[in-house]
Amino acid sequence: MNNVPGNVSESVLEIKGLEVVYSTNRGDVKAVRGIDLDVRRGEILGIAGESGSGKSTLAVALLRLLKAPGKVTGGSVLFNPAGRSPVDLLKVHGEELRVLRWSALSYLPQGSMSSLNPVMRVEDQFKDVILEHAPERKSSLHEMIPRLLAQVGLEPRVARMYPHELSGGMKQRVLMAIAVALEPDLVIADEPTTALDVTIQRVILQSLADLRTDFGVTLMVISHDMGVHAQLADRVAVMYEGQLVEVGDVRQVFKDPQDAYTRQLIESIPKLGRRAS
Amino acid sequence: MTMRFLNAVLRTIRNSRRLAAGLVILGVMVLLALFSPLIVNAIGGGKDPIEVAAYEKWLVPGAGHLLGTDQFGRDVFAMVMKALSVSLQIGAIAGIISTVVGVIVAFVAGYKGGWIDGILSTFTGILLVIPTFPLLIALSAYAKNVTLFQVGVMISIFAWPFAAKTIRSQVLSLRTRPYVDLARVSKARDIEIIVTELLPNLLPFIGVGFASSALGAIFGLVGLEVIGLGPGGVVDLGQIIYNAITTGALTLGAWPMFVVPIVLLTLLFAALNMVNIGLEEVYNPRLRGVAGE
Amino acid sequence: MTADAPPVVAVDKSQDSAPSRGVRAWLSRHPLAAYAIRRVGIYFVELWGALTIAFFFFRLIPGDPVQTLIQTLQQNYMYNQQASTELIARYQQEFGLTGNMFSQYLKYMEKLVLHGDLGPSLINYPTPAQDVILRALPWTIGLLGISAVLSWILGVILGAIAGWRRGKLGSAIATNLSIALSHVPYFFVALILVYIFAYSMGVLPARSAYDSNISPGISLEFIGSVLKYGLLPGLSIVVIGTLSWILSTRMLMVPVLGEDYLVYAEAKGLKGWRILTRYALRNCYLPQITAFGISLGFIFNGNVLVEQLFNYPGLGTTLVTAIQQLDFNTILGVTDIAIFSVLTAVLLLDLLLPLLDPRVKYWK
Repeated sequence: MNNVPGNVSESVLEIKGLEVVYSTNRGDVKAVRGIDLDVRRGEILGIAGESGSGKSTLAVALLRLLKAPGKVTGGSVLFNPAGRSPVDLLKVHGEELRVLRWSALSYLPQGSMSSLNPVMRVEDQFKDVILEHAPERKSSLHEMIPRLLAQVGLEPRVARMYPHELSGGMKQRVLMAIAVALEPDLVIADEPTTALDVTIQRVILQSLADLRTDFGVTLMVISHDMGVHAQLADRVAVMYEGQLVEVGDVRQVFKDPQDAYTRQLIESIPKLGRRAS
Repeated sequence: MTMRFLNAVLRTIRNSRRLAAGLVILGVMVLLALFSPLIVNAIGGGKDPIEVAAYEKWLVPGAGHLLGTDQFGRDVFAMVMKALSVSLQIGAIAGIISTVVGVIVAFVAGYKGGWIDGILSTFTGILLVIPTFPLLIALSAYAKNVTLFQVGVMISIFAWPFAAKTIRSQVLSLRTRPYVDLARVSKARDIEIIVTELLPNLLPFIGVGFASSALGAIFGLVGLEVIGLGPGGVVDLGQIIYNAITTGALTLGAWPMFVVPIVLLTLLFAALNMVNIGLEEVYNPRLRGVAGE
Repeated sequence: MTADAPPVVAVDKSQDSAPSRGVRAWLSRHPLAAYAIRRVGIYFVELWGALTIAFFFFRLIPGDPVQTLIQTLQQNYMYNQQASTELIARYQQEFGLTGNMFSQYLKYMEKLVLHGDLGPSLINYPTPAQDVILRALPWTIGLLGISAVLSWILGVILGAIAGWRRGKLGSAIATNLSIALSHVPYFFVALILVYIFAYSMGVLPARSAYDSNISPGISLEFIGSVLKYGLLPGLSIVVIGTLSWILSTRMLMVPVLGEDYLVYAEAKGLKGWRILTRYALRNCYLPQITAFGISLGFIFNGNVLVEQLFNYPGLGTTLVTAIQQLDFNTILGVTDIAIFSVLTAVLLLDLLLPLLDPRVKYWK
């Protein structure tokens, strides 16, 4: 909170007391109940938890994509993008928020969702976001897009394709390439490997790890799969019924889980040579 | 069974203010039509207010004649009431015939599938796409002194495809549902499946089909009447508009003669369309809340 | 396109055992051509079906055109003599009324397809019906075509905005107005407009298509006059047409607004207008292109009344005049032209669709 402006802060994101509520006709349902969490610059932070634990709501709230009947009812989210003054993500609106998006805060959705516009070529879906936030790169687009695609292991010809011509894994890679196109400070990835083939999952996870090395982005990865966190994350935060039950170094957490729920989650990972019951 | 049906209807209406509003407007109009003989009598006060030369010609609207009188000295309000009743009856007759034909065609086409569906659907499609009004005009030109029922039948020839199209697409989507498959396995006869499994689920869409066919029928007859090519012997709201145009009511400033029928018909079209969209909104999950709160 | 496709195939896949397999292989490699061939085939079936329905419909209606013609001639030329048997036979020959119904049908179709001949008209005897119709056609194409396209463009744009801003007051007003008025005949609006602008205010003409004092031709004065006279009839179609497109576009738009790619576009920080046009509208306007073609027949029906009210010299007025005088050939001709135009427009739009929509596989 007490950052000196201009100084690059240690934390990209400081979440304090975040509360999110869904109002239904039978009263309010608290999906996120007072979360405090820091995301450190350059790290990969995993958010774990079963479905309904509020981890996706957390992601959507941080991205400011929460739609009615969801509502943030309390807390603050201090965002420290490099080269800009820190802002409370919950308090920016309109144009100020729009300018912040992608160049500072970007989003990696699940590839199996139809996040790519079905009637636009892949290259156009790169172009529109790049030109929106960095119009000066117009002249270098023709080399930029193939380079980004290569970064995630895709051939240049993918640029001319439409989403329906891509496999699930290819879509996920395209989304990854778009997510890092403008070298954002923070990428929030929501279930980036869910609904993918197990073999492709491994490759995608490797690419995500590479992106961190190559672009130095900070990554917040939401996944119900503890295996993903084990393979990818530096630190992991475990959510249960809207609250954080445990945060810590990923090895520490796996070796010596403090919370009973965390232990259950870890035990649910299928192990080699032994069938999960 | 009846209670269950009534409950379902009530629940549906509560779910859609639009449907409720449409039904209320329709209800009021139907009541007006039912009581139109009484209303006409009350206006006449002993004599027939729509007899030629019952009153003076071209009286302006006032206490005695709410909407004035026409070129023959007939009370416009009484004429409008009676014509409204005729328009509604045409809508009901043609709507029912079209819906019955539409349901049969839709079931045969949608349920049987294959080449029968191909032929029937192409035929329905052609009738929906091509301009059928010239055919209707031509048919009407030969219908002199016909009864109201005959006019209804005549109009139905062109109104049934509206109902058939709506219902067929629903039959197609219902046909592949698991409970229909289950019924196919357990029950042998198609007719039994249609009556017990498909028909109840189709009722709302049959309602939509009825509303659009009735709308199309009233629309068609008004169209015929306003160009003076309506079947003889039937005085509906379109006929009054035609009279207003040909007798120069527009130039004479006798606005009630065409404004009131237009407003009534507009209300009627609006109400039928509200019923249509309301039913679709409640029963078609894809459109739920789509037309907007 | 349809005709030359198969021969190319045969040469292409000559090494294949059966030529039919070659056709199939070629078609599977050229899915768009396969779609186009199939669609054109359906078009000819529909066209033939519709023209046949129209022909028998009119032939089965009672009424004798030759008798009517003779009556007209007697009135017009003060013929006193009774029509001779030879005269009747000659007219029957000329109007294609000899032989049984089926041979009449074959003869009619032959003349129509091979020579574009619709037979003599009654209202302008002995001018052929096709000449009467061709004189009226440009007026209808101008009035109906411009109004229909304009309504579509306006309605799709406004409907998209209404869906986009759903929950806002303006959207609610537009939506409810559309629900209330989208099924009202154009004619009603026309009457109200005529009453207000022609009779009460006297600023716009209520009848005809141009000022009769101006000689028709390519002059600024004439074009101005045509526009002025076309304003009220055009406006009556545009008002209602726009409202109905608003409603249907909004219905297509709202489900699209819940799609993942719209959330993604928002997360990308694109400008609202860009999301609306490139993401939302681009994904929902395509069905409206097909719907436009389908609506043309309906618009033609409504247009007949509008033309009649304004005494506009187009197909609608020609049709009504022809019917009043039981002019079979002209009535059937107008119907045929309308059927042909509508089906052809639908065909062209359907062929255009795969070029606009990358998603759908059209060879199924």
